[in-house]
Amino acid sequence: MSANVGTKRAGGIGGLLDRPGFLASLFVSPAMLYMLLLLGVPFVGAIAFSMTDLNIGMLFNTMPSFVGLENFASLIDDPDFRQALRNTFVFAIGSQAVAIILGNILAQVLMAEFRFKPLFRVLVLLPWATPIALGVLGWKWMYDSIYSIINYNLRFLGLLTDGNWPIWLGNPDLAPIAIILVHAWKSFPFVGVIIVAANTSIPRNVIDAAKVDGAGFFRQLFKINLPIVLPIVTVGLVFGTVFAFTDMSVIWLLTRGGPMNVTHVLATLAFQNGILSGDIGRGSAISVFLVPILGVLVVMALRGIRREA
Amino acid sequence: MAHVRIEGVTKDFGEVKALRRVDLEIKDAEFLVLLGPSGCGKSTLMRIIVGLETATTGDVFIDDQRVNDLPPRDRNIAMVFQDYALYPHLKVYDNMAFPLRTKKVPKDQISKKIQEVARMFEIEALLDRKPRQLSGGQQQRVALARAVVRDPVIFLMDEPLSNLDAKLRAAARDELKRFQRDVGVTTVFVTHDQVEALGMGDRIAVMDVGSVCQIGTPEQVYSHPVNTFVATFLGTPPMNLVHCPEHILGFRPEHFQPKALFESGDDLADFQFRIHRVEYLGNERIVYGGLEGTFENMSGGELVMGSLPDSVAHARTLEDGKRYEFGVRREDLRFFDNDTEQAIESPSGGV
Amino acid sequence: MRRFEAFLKRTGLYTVVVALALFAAFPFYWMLMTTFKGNKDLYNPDVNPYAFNPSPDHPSPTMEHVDYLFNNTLFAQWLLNTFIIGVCVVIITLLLAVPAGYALSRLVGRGSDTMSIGIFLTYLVPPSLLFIPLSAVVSRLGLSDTYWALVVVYPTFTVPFCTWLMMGFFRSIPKGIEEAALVDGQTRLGAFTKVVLPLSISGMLTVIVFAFTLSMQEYVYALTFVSSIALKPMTLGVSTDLIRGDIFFWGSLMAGALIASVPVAIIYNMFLDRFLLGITGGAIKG
Repeated sequence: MSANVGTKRAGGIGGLLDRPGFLASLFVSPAMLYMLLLLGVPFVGAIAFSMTDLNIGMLFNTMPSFVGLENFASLIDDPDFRQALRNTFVFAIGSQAVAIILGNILAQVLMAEFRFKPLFRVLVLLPWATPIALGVLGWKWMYDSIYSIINYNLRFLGLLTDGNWPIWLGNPDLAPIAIILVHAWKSFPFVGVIIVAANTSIPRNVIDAAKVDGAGFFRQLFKINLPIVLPIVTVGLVFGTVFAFTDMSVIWLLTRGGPMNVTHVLATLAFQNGILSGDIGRGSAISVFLVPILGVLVVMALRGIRREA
Repeated sequence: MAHVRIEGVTKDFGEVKALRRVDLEIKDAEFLVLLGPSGCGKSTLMRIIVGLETATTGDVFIDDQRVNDLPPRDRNIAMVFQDYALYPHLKVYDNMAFPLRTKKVPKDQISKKIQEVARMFEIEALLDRKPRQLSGGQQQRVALARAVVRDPVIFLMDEPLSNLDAKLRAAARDELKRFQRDVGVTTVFVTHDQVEALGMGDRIAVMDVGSVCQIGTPEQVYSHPVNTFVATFLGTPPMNLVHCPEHILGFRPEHFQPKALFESGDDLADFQFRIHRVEYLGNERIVYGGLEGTFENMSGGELVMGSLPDSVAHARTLEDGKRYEFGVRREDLRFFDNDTEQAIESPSGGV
Repeated sequence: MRRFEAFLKRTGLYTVVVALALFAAFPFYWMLMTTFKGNKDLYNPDVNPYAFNPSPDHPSPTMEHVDYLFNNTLFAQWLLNTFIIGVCVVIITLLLAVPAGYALSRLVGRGSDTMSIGIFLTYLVPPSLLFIPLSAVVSRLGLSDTYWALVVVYPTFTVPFCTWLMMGFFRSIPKGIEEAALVDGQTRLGAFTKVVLPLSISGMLTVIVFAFTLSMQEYVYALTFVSSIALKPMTLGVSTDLIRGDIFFWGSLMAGALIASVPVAIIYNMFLDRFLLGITGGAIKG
């Protein structure tokens, strides 16, 4: 038997496909190109637009002019914008705080044993498992100014005096609370589930070793559970917080930013200005304010991940 | 049938030098074993031969043709992986057909060839099964069959027996070696198990930290190791090493016997040996102890070991704690340089 | 004393269980009730809302809202739109994410950690930042007021996670099998299509489910890019077109919201464990 070894050289199409580097680039480029064009470019675009006087009428016929930081200056002077900026923080932090508390309680419950647990699991995950816009519609109906079932229940339980009928979404003092509640409702199941998943990922023998070493409940909690659980939970929390800071759907559907622009956040204000009113420059400037916030969150997230590595 | 020539091959993975200058020739139809501890580079060398890695410097020739740039599929080499790497989603028949279909062999020829090879390995009954339905031994035979079905000119095997349990392993060794002898294909066999190497190889290339220390027949490598590494890597228990002032003295446990067992005419080196412990292993006894007298404290803190077959009656009389006179035939002594640890001929001083 | 403590603990636990379940699920219960209550009953503040209170000319419970939803609105059309969008998005996602996931898992040695972080970071750039410039892109492409705009834009949030999912999945396929294919005569491309892909069906299924459900739920881009009623996906249609002026057709609204939510909820429940594995597994491995 002769060797019969191939005489082809590694070149040409066949050879190219063999070179690992080439195939890798071929495989990755569509996705990278796509993300660059539809995420990267618009991201830079938003920042660019924010410094122009572009509006929808001008699009593709006239060149917008560069106005520097004029948009930003005018926004800072605008009380509605300042309110929106405040709200963005208040709503996000408020709802995440509530979600963390409820999520923790949920996690404890999920790690216990009780009857009908599978049913409970399905029910308690519904806020997370259903499309956000549709769940919010349910809340909107629950908050209705005349037919609110919440008010009915409160009155039924004797917590509301006669003549006291809170108009949740129409009252500038109550609307923020209503919104925070819905955000928390949407977020807490995920927080709870993440905490449980993180806890169950602690290797059994680590816990056993701690027990043998005589660690009490609190010591174990702080020295062992927390350090292992924290990075995973942090990642989950960062996602939840990003959602809370940038969400438009909940507020838009509940109040459109009203009453009287009192419940706007950056996202809804940007939508109103940039899309509905067509003032692209101003709208972009509003959303650009989100960038530093997201930057901080990104850093926190990375720290959370790095601590794992 | 092909012969392989490896000239001046090195392989770096970034900072790590996996292979430092390997020169090796593998003869036609030879069964060559690459033997060494993990990390010695034997698998890397094999992967360079098959084409899954490329050498950093140096050349690989198959039948005098330089193959450095050829991808694996053009080299007509078959490889059996350590974990068999059978395609889990394909039946055994399709596993074996895969390389043939890739080469666009006509259907009826494929069928004929598979039946032929399946008969050779006695796996006809398994052709319809999927890999996960097979036992370890069966998977191994399928992996071999898949390699054979291509009529390759070279077989590469990466520790193919290490996943089998001990009982199967001995039988598999025998089958494999006889098969190779019948078919006559050049085979390169990688293992860390020196018993396997001694038992199967026509020649053994002993490797350590990226280079080949010694190539030779099993007898050559075992009886005349070129340095202390080879000397202690081959043989269980390993060769005893005694650090004398002028040289390192080596002798194998099976040559280290009570003086009483030698014939009167033998030319012996004498040792005073105090036994710490006798270990009964069924077919042999291992005596662990320390040298006293001239060689006291020269074994570098290592135990000196002797191995006596159980069939020797005298072996049963040896007791813990007692001191005995042991000896080694002078022709069985080996000497190594104190600094380089390389083998040297006869000692400068006397023993 | 210990028994009493245990009893207290038990009661406490069940109280919390019920409270949490109520908080989470009550809105859906209320949506369900509303769907089947006749208008006269629904808009009557004087009756017990938890019961069905039929009146002589107005039955309750009733199917009238569901009927209205399917016969007098474009609900069925919206469902179809959502489905078409979903299928297209899934196809695009598969085409982009599967090869990218493979390349990143196999052929890039180090730097794959950087990639993972990069992928994770894309999720921190939200629609509410991108929708303004994207609407310019959409106009430019002539896709304004079509749902193809959504098909083009939705993969921005499905592709990164799906790439990462497939990365993890491909990593679990032993390299030896691919190498065996190479030695058996395949090119790298051949090894990928003939050996790796068939073994990744399970991963691709997860990608399909995830991409489809994500695109089913999206609201902001839909609101931004689609205005013609007939072209709206269901989340948008239900929330904007069951209103006449100031009047909300709550019965049909709730019916639509519920019907549109149920499939997503079911799928999420089935796949919860898998998603979790993907998220925590990735986080643990870094």
